[in-house]
Amino acid sequence: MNAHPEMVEKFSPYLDAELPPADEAAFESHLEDCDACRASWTEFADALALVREVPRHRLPASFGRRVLARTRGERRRRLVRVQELLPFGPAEVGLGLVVLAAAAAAAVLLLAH
Amino acid sequence: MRQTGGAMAADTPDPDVLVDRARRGDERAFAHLLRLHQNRVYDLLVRMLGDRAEAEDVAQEVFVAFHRALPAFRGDSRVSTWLFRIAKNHCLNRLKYRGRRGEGQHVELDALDRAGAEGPETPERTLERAQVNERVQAAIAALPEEQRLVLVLRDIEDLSYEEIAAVLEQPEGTVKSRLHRARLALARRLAGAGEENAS
Repeated sequence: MNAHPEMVEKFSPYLDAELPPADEAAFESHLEDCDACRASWTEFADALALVREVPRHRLPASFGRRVLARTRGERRRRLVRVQELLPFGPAEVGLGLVVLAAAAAAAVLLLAH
Repeated sequence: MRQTGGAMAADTPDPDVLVDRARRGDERAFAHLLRLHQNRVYDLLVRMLGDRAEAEDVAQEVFVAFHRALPAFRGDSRVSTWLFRIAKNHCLNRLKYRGRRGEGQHVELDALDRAGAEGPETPERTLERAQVNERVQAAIAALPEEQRLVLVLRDIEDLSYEEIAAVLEQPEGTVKSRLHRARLALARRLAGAGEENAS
């Protein structure tokens, strides 16, 4: 005899403890009485127990270094692209900042008077 | 206790703080995020692609994409969810590419699956465990892509339904029914394989 389809539908919610308490009790008492559903549930639960026990794969220690080498390269390329778009270089930026600071200081002095 | 969002030890910095620092170009913070999440992402990719070298290659792409997208991260989901979503997209693209090239599913049963879990064991027990791991990996690999993905996220990577729904960008109801079908198919296959081995 095959397992009852409406019981098979409850296998995952039961496994994940998502059944309301009354349904959970009904499910358990059905399993006690129905050989087909019990056999089917055992097959299901055993399979999932095996899946949850599989050893996890781990990356070699060099993985992080390789990713960081790539992200560093990307950041450098982005900076170069930004500099290429600007009509002036870093020296001009420095000079611009000095001029701006001087103008700000002058403005503060004027306002103070 | 069920952990759903990456292995967070008590002395681990707050993930939000790490992301914020990484976004502002702090390489050490990015390296920390990398170390926290790299093995879970990689394990998912090995299970999905069945090939360690290819999984490592895709894992690199995932973390480079993650780094590139960091400035756009708004913090409305967990970092792990966001990373798994990037991994899912890269993985499905790789499988699509393989499909176009007419390549089937790779089932590489590597040294880890053969070796089984760590610890002192008798050679017989080690061999038995290794055979079981091989059967499990083959049964996972035989599932259709969408079912495989949801099963690995839930039953191996231990994500909550809510988190899986966010990774897959699907309603929780869809996730639950897909997972249930995947589990049933896997149980049938493993039971069948057991009978074949016994006969």
